[in-house]
Amino acid sequence: MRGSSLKYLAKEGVRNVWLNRLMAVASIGVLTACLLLVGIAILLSENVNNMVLFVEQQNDIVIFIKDDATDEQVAELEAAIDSQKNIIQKTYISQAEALEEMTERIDAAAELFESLEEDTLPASFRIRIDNMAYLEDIILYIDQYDAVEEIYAPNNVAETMVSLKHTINTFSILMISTLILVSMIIISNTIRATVFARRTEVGIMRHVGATNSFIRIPFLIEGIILGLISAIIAYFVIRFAYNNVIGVLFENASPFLQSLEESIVPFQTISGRLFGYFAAAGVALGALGTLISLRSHLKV
Amino acid sequence: MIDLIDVSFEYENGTRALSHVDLKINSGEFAFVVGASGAGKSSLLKLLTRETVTTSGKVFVNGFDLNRIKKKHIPKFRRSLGMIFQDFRLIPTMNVFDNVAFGLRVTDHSAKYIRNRVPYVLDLVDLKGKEKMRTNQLSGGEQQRVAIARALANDPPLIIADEPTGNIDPGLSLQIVELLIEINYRCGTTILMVTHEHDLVRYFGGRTISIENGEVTFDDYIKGTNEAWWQNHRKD
Repeated sequence: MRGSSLKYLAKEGVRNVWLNRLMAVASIGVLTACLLLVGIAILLSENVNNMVLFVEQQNDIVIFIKDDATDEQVAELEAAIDSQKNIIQKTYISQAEALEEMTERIDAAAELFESLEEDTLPASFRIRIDNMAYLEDIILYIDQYDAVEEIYAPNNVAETMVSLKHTINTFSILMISTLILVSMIIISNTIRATVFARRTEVGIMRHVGATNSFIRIPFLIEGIILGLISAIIAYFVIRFAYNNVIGVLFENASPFLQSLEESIVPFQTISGRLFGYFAAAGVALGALGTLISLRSHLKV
Repeated sequence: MIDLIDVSFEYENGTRALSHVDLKINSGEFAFVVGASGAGKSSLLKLLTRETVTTSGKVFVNGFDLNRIKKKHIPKFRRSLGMIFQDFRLIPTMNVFDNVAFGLRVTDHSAKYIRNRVPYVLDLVDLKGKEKMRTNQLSGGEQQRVAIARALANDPPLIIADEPTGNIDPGLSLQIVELLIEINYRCGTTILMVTHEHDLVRYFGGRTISIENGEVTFDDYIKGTNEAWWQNHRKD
């Protein structure tokens, strides 16, 4: 195809958006609504996942060290902990620090601890991991070192968190897939109405010997433009709504809600990705919807 | 140019539209196809433009075997035809120039060729100076001239006109047929004009094919009542 023909087809695609502006507005409206629903599902899923992660990271795993462990054995254990990439935080608590901590915690009975020797309580490593799903593997790995006396780990919390995350992810995927499918059906019907209104044009194209790809290109460009416009509108609407809802929610929040504020995903951290999703989904839905709608009109 | 050999055509519901039709139209001919509604004229046109295929028999148009043509070659075949319709089928959102250029753009002609060719064909149909006008600003006769210009733009060897005078005043109808005959005479374009207006056919005369109940009942040259018109034009 000549460059001039491609330029003409691109120009036609843009011109058609304006000429069929009523249908274009309807398509953009439907597509924007669908993208907003998908966006809400994504944001909900991101936030719930982040909250689960936040709760996960509040759980310490304590590795008690044997009293008779040598310095080499402790160093070996520390190196083993450092080698695990899922461990995001590690603190060494010496025997003296453990006692001091205990004394501070049980302030009323401080006198009782005064008579205790510094080495009464065991030294330990306190670690935090980024994903509870790896908890069991990490415990099994560390437990084989000689310096380890005992490992305290919140196994029940881990199981609950892992199962909760799994449920949330499955639900999000199902919800987003359903919404995309519904959007596809609605969009292809809206575009079908546009194409039907222009069936004379398509018929003339066929009669003068246009190939199917020549007929498709302007409609495809039109679909992509509508998809992109919808993506931009949906992005700004969701950005405005998200920031305002978060603002209102935490303005006079209860202590419980305030404790969750730290785990709320700031819009800036997800904005690029969300716009990418919207643009990709908008373009794909617009283009696919157009192709599906045109199919019956292109039969020779 | 057009060769139908023992063509029969039945619709899916079993209605027989054409029955054992043999028809040959040579290059450079002008032929009228007449017949009442439901006689089989539309089915004949659908076969000739490869919108449908025969139930039996063979159809050859412009060297293409329409029973065996591959789907991907149908656009190429249609580029060898010029089609004119009763309802003009112009694109209302485009001006006269773009409507005529449309057929050329579809067939991937260069912008320079389009710039030269469109004014030439508009001049042929006497629409010079109306390039920028919207088609809905034109009379029925002028709109049909735009459609003729579009059909001519690709310089096709064959033009098929489906009731081209069906939507215009009788006076203008004469002008449209005159124009088609002129194109046939000057450009050598084969023209097949389908009409139900017997008066028009009797006025101009020429090869006339009559279809009744799906069969060709008459195929011969008739003498027009306006023989003088022909003689004047043939003298040019």
